[in-house]
Amino acid sequence: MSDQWVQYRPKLQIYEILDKPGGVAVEQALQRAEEALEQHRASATHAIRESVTRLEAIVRERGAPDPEQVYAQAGFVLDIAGVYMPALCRASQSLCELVHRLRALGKWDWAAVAVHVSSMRLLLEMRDGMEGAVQSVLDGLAAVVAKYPDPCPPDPPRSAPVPAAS
Amino acid sequence: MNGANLPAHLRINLEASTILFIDDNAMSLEILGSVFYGFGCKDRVKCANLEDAKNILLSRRVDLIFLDAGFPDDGWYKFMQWLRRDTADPMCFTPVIIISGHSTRALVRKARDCGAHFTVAKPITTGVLLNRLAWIAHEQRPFVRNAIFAGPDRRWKNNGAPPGTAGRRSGDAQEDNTEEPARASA
Repeated sequence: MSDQWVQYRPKLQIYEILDKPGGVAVEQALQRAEEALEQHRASATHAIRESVTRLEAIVRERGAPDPEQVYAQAGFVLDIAGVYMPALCRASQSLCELVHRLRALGKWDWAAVAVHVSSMRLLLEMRDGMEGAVQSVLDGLAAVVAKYPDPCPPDPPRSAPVPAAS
Repeated sequence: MNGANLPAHLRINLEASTILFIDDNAMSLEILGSVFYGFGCKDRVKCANLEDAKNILLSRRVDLIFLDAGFPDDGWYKFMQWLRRDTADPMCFTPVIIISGHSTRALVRKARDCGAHFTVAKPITTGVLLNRLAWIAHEQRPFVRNAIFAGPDRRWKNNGAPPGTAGRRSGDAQEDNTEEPARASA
């Protein structure tokens, strides 16, 4: 493959989905999708509860640090909770990030893990209409994670174009 | 407007489309498949591992792929390399949306460079998924390929070559000052 850019304009079938007769209106599609999601809510909630309970057991025992197991359980909750419990999803994302940073440093912090797990339980049991409290919990978790540096540095700022020589 | 930030009069017809979902979490597969059932897609193929996904792609037409970025050892990235580099036209152009769970900065960079159309970070919403789908259909972004990248053109606004440079693409000089597509006009 050469350094030369080659451009293609393929005609794909997916490009026709907006022009084809029939189909469903956007509102209807969204409503149907939400209804379809409801069918999985009970089993998803059950699976999430099991994972949070496992995390609580890990924190209670405080055996040898097992970052992989904590990351896997948090990752499972993150995967499932997204469409049903976005705040819980964000809390599990925060726990994944904490473990990721601790692993990179070769450290472990049970207190930081424990506060995440108890926050996940809190968010799991919280009723709707408590957005302020939810945000406070998530802000608190972000502060805990921020104690440890991100092992992957941010992208360098884009350099300004070199002015043409006069 | 609505949860998908799309015009209310817009209709989407996925009845004849085949969508492949690749995720090693069975429940995630079910959830994502249900969303697209709601959107009207009848042919939803769910796949829990990357090798099976390759075989599916080699045996039938797929119009869109949702790929989870949680596969170990960067398997999802290698899959993208295979799809974009080693498969024939039109399969190599199949639109891909990456779904990411825990998004490290390194993963976000890789997702940007792997030749996917979009990366959607969890928590996902039905509105975001429908919006991205409509975008792919509406924008019909050209594909570009060279030694280091193969995938949809990542330049959203084509103002020709970057200032102070001669440009790297043959079309840079001709396409100067092309209007940016309206983002909400899908």
